[in-house]
Amino acid sequence: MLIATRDLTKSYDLGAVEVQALRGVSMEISEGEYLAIMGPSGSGKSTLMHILGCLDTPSSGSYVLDGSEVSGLQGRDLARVRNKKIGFVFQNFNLLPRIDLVSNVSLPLVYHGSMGKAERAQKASEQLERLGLGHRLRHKPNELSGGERQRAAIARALVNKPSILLADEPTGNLDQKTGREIMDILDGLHREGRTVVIVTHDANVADHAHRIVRFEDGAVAEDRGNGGPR
Amino acid sequence: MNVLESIGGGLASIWSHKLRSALTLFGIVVGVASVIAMFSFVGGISTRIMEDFDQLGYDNVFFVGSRPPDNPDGLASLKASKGLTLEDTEVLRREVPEIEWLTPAVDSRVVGRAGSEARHFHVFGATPDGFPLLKLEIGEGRPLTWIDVEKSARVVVLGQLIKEDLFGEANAVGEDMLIDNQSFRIVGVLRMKEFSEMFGNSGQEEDQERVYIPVTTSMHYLTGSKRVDYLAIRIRDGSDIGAAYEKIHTTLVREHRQIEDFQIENVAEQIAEAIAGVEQITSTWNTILSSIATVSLLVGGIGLLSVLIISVNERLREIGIRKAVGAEDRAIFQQFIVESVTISVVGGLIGVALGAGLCALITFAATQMGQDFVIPVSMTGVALGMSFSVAVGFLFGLYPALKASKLDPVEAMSRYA
Repeated sequence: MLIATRDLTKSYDLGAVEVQALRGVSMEISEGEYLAIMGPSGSGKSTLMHILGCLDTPSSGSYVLDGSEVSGLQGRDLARVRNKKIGFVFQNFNLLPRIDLVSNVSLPLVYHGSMGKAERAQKASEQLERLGLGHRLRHKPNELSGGERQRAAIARALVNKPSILLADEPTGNLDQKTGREIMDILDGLHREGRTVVIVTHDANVADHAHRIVRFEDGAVAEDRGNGGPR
Repeated sequence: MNVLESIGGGLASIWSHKLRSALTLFGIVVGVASVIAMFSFVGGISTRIMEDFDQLGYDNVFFVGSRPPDNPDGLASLKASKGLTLEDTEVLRREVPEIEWLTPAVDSRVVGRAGSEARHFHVFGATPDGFPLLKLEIGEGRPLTWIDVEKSARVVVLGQLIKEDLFGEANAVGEDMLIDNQSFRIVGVLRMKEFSEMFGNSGQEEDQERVYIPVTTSMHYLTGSKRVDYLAIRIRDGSDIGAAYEKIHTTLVREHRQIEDFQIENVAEQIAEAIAGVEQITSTWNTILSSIATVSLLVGGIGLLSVLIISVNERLREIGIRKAVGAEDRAIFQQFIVESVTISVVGGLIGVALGAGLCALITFAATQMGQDFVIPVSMTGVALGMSFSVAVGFLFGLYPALKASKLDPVEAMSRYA
């Protein structure tokens, strides 16, 4: 099992009121699964994704990722897990505006350890070429279209060979046609055997996944199989 | 990310915000430049004064002169002691290890003649040690030798001013001249020392307005006496002036059978005090100037601090992204602290250049006004300025860097900046 959570809760103390974002989430994700997490805003799906992506820690409960318990990890250990096991794709791309694509895609490798600059650039370029951005290596993000930016972001998410790809509304800032292109890429990554988790409120996007988990009010409301991409 | 790459990032960040960086750098540049200019100025003046003292040749020097003893039965004691003699020089040389150079001196006022020129001057009867002792340099010919002393040779070394009076531009070495109607061979001429404008030439007029012959020649041909007028002594550099004085005094009192028919003029002490005075003034000035410079660097530091805080706030999202892809707190801290130190070091380097430029400008201006006044760039100033700028960069970068490193990635990424 790649991911196993048990009774995950997350509460935010907002002074007067305490907000329960997650109320006991237990779920398992196997290696190679293609999963969509759905739900209205405020349902806790983003919070869950942050915890699954080790950007945030649960208030209670257990989270085993790739065989090791990560719910108790802090700071530097959490950063290492993020760096080595997680690849993020965000709705608004989150590329650094002042540096070119190679540097952007190299970023996870920069924090990976002792890899030299040339080797990092080499790996980043390969990844960008694989996503059809070989002609954009030295361009800066604002010189690219939205689809190209998201492809660069996917390249960055993949460059460290993560165990899991987490995509938060990956088509949210794109037009329909470009959105479809991005989903094709994610479908392809799934076919290559990668574990892909998409957080979305868009049913068309979710429909690409083989399993759909619906969130409501901080808990799993529905967990069902799906026919998969047509 | 290694430090070198962080420095590159820092430089890129400076370059991408040119105006803001320039404003930030300004305080540090002015601070460092003023430290260097001021230290160099004060250092240049004090070095020059020290060089003058050194040239003067009276540092570490004692003069032992004769005087009547001050006990009541004066006549008896005069008979008991022979006064200052050549034997005293031997004893002192043997018993006072601090002594580096020592010469007996016999001073006579004479009439000198060379060709048709004649004038009065003093003759300084001495040994070869007298030249290094008084830091007199030979311009032409040779100094006196021990063989001259042994043979009471009638040879003479002329002060430069005497040479000019008697020979003008013509050659003097090898010529003969008359001193109190006795023929002397001129073997050497002194070289004029170069003093700064501040000192003028007053320090060496006496040296250059007399001639030098072997002490034995003075006794034999000019005074006819076994007595010497005074002893000139130079002690080794760095030895204890007070202790040397005491040893010289004790030894002479013993040799003169407890009769104090001499007095020691402690020039060494006077020069040491004057030098200490200059050092005191220099250090006072340096303290005042450092305080001013510190204030201006602190002002520069506060500018840096505010720019860095702005920079962190502008880059919240960048920090969030970096953390999301696996940057540890430490890496973010390093990025910002290196950026801060890089900015301040760049400021420091520009400041060094500016400070050096100011020194050159002062030197140039002084030269234009006909002053021989060189301000060398003070290495202390450079070192101080640079270490200050590194310290300022680190100190004032600490808070913004810490703030950046502690940001929560989710929160930081959600900011639209």
